[in-house]
Amino acid sequence: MNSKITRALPELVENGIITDGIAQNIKTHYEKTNASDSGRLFTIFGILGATLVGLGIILIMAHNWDHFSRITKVILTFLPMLVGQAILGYSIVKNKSVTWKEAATVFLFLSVGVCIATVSQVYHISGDLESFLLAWVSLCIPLMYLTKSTSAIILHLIFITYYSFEASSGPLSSTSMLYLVLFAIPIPRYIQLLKSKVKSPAIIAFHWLFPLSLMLAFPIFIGRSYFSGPLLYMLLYSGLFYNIGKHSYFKNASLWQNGYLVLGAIGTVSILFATSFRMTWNILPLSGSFGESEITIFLILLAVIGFVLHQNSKGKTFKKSDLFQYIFLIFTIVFFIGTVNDVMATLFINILIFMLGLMLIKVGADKVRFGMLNCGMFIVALLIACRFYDTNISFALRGLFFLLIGGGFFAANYIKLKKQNTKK
Amino acid sequence: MKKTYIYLLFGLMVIVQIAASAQIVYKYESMIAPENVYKFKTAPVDPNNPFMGKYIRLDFEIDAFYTEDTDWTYKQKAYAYLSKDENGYAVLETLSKEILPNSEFDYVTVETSRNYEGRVRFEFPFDRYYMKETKAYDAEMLYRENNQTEDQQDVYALVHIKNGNHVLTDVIIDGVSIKDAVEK
Repeated sequence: MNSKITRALPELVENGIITDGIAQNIKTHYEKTNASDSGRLFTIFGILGATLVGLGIILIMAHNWDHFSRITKVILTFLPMLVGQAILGYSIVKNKSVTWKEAATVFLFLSVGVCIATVSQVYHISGDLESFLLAWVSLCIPLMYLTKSTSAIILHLIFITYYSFEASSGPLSSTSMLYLVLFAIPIPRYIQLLKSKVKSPAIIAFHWLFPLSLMLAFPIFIGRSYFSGPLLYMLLYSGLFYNIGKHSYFKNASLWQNGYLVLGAIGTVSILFATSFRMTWNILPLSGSFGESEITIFLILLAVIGFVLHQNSKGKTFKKSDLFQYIFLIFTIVFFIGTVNDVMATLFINILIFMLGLMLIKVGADKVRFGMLNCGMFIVALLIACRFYDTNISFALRGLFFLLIGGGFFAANYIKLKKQNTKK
Repeated sequence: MKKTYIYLLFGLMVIVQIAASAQIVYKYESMIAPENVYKFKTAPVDPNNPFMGKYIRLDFEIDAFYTEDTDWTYKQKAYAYLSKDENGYAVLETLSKEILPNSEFDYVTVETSRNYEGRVRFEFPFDRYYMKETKAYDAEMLYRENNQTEDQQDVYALVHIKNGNHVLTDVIIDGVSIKDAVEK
């Protein structure tokens, strides 16, 4: 694309469309962009190379070369880590390029894992994967701030999420609190990067990885109290993620640059559909209680959401018309109604999904955004399909429900058409 | 961040990373001595760990303590006190909920699994023996074959125990290290 533009420049100058000076400026601009792109490519290749070498060493060590003596194995165990430390030390002292620093960081991160794993192997230590991952991630925390490495943050997020899969779960358990602390450590660096307003691919990756890690690790906060699950997940998706996605920072961001908004919206719709069945409300009260620890998590989430909403109201990005932004509040009320009256809760949730679908259709039609319009139609169509096959509701009631909605559509169209005709 | 702080943080990180791994090496090396060795009769199989490689899982003949105390619970931390018989095989002396201050015996920290009719079952923490990946499967097969014949061979794990710490150093099948018994 760039070369196409630069090739067209002489013709544009010849025909007097742009001046020679402008043509020169355009050329310089694209030369600069190309230079930074190739620098970025070097960094990516450097990181990939270090990752592959590190993983290769993990696999070679895991083979367990039993003809080496124990001491030889121990020395070989420490070697990759010492090499990694030396390379990183050299790149810090000599203030080498980002490529050097990123590649050295990734290599050191992986070689620390090699060292702990092989020591465990040499001495046949039966420790579980959970404590191994915790030790590994903890020893590499300084890497995130030492060279301001973005790949260290990516690796940190991946491995703390892995840790959460292996960790024993439970509301307010020591492992869930430990995960939160580990999750919070790279946040100051993340905020620093956000404030720098640089839109690099690494920052876009963070906009996905931070919410993804929290979303995937969220079961450790819920443990076996499945009862509170839908409510807490709704607070996470609609309250936290979606509202972060609506922050003024993301004002001009496209959907793929805004992981919070996409994950928040998909999560919200999923929870709504899961709770749109009457059966869910029959099972939920039998699946635990809303105890002290669940209330604490609920309040912590509300406090964080409150802070995000406050930020949004300052940035004037809170819109009353966007149902997604406050659906968690309506859901909280419906959730507590559901604990005493399953029919009412089911009805409210279905109305809520329907309104959400209509809202998307309306906004999509008004702003001529077909993606949004299609999403709205998909939600309404899925709702119709779910209710059509819902065996928990009698045929007569379902029939009446469909007739009413269908009639509503006709009536709305008729009224709109009449209004348009009278305007003419 | 100031350059001095970066150097300081880097130096600190390097020291902690080396020290964390080195102290494990020191802890286990310091207890590997002939007088600390116990033999535990075993039964191996071969699962694997994505980072540490293939290992054989060991079950031990000593896996329970008989008591009239009904107060034992699931996953309770306990201390297994051991002595050696005339052939060096481990003998369970007692299972205690607390460390016995004046005991003459060595102990290992264990975790109970269940308590049924006065039989408190527990698991020793040295149940993994890491092997060269090409040998782990054969090691399991060798053990099974030996078990199917009438004249069972002598299989035991060598564990060094000192001051409540332990390190597994070998698994022996009929007098030969398991890694030599399945030479590949």
